[in-house]
Amino acid sequence: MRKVLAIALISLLSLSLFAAGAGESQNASAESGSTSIVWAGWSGEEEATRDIFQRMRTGYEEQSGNTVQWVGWTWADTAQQLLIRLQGGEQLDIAQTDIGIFNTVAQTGALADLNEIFGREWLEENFAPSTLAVGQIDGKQLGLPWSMAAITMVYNPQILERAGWSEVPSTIEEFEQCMADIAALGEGIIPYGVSTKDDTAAGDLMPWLWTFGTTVFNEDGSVNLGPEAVDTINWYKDLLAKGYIQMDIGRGDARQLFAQGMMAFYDDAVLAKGQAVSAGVDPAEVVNVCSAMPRPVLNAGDESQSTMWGHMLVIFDSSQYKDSAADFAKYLLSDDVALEYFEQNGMPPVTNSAANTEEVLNDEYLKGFIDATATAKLDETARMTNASEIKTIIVEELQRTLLGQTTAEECVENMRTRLNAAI
Amino acid sequence: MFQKTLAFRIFFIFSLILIGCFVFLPLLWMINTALKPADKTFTLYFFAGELTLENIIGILTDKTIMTYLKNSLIVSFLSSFMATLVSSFAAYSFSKFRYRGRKAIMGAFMMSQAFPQAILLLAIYLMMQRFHLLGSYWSLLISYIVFTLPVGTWTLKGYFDGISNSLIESAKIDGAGNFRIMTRIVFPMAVPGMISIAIYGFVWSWNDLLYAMTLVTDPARRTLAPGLVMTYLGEASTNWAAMMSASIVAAIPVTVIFVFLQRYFITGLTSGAVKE
Repeated sequence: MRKVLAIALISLLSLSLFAAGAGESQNASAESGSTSIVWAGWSGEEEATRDIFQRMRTGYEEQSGNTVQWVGWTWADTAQQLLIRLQGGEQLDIAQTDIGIFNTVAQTGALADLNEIFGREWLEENFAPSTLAVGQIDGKQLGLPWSMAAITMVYNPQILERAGWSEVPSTIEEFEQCMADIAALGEGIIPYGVSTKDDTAAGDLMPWLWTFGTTVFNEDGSVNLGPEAVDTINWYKDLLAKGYIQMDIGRGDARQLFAQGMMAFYDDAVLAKGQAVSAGVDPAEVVNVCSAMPRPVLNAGDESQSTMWGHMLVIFDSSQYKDSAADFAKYLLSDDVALEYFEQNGMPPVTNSAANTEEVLNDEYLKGFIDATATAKLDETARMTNASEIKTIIVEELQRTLLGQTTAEECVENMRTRLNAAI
Repeated sequence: MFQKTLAFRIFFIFSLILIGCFVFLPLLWMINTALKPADKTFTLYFFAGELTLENIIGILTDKTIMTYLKNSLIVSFLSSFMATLVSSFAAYSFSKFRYRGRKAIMGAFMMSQAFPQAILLLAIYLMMQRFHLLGSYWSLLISYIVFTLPVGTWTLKGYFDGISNSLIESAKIDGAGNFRIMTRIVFPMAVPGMISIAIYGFVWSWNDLLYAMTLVTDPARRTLAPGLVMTYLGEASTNWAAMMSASIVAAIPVTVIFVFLQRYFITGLTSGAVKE
């Protein structure tokens, strides 16, 4: 019996080791192709975008004869994984980044200047200057805009209608009244799903700070947080005390609750549509339950605030196939591909030609996001190398105050002290 | 005496309930979420509303998830087997032989546990790249063996210390060589300890996310932990119902192994602790 078991075990081990070895050799051969470029990112791994990313790759492969090898991770891990791959000198030609990741990768000095690859003329011909600016650092065009819009406020028109609001609130006073009316419905709906946990809480707080008239940092990079910051934090506290906002809400939670009709307002990018569709809403009907709106202002006539959001493509300086990578990037930005991405996933195209098609201009869902984009600003940490640390400080101090451990004044003072030490 | 008092019983029952809540509530919550329809994920009810097996069936019939599961089983079984084997030899050496540098090497083994595994990631990545092992199961197998080795070696050393040297001497007098003594006399007596290390190694590799995501990027060889996170926890949407269902499926092999081998696991962990 023992011998039989031993033979079975050895056979199993041998087969498994053979399987392990076989995998290795396949991988090696796949990477050895001279016309094979490596495209990295996260959307090609996700349920909602996996298929369209596959079609993008095969479409380009059929058209060009090149091959595109996809390397993917989770959205949250992409920056770290890109850095590891770069450190290891592994082949990396083109990558998908978002505005947050972009700076981290750009600071490594690993990105190619796209002015040299595409030519400044081509870039200026195909993109609006404000869009191109998002991918510029120190005069270099390190990121190629791929899909951009603003993170603004999203609302459920049906809930607002039940609460007696046929139009969205435009000032903070109206917003508070609207939230009170929603709470009075007694349906257990959370009026506003502002993020109160993880990095997104810092991202949501910033446009409110701007609305109240202050910023986290001055233009020279020093900490600002004027007296208006205390007003903003006190306003948050007031909303929490009244039950209009809740602790322990992150972007993902807000999306799900909103998609299930359990939340009236929250902050999001165009990606909000994806969650609504996943929850069973007909894509054509999304605007009935999920529409973008300008963020309410402190005083009528003030400029509504929103944060810039977007995905970019970057090409690596170490790539031996920069031309192929650029060719692939142009394919991804071509009208047909960009419009299909827009139709399937709601990702707004950025090239002048695609952004000005009837299809995009007349899209009711996108309109609110595009309108907000006109005045959208970059997240204040977007160009900082320690953005994550800065956001953690902001969120920790905000949470302590919302939990009643510190006052708004102490919150701002603690933030200022810790941020000064961190910058 | 104290154990028979009413105060102790109340304290005992209260503690049991409290610990039980911390241990089992998250698990029950996971099962509850997995059994809810996806659009009811955030609707608060606990097994008392609409329930469905749709999510779990969806996972079981998803070929991609099953590929991840197969990969995890291959990697976890192999790494736990190899780690146990290597740990056993290392532990036997530390326990029964005396040579220069023995204590220093033992200390180095233990010290390697002091570093967070994330710190070693880049070094291991570069080594795997140099040996052309990136993307293969081998990169994971070697990493997991490395991480299981210190605990495995120290645990088994304690186990082997408890085995009388006179037994080994007797075997030597009878003409047995070191390898024969190890494999025929000492290892059979240490089976509970070895099984506990095998389970430890299995669970470690089964649950690993960071190394599995970094060292293997080909979906065909991806293991379950990164596979689930990448599939269900996205930038745009989070499918908690599917994630929880997949987590239940993922927990089944570990649970089955532990249920069948728990007797050895507990004996293995405690036997080496006391020197007689």
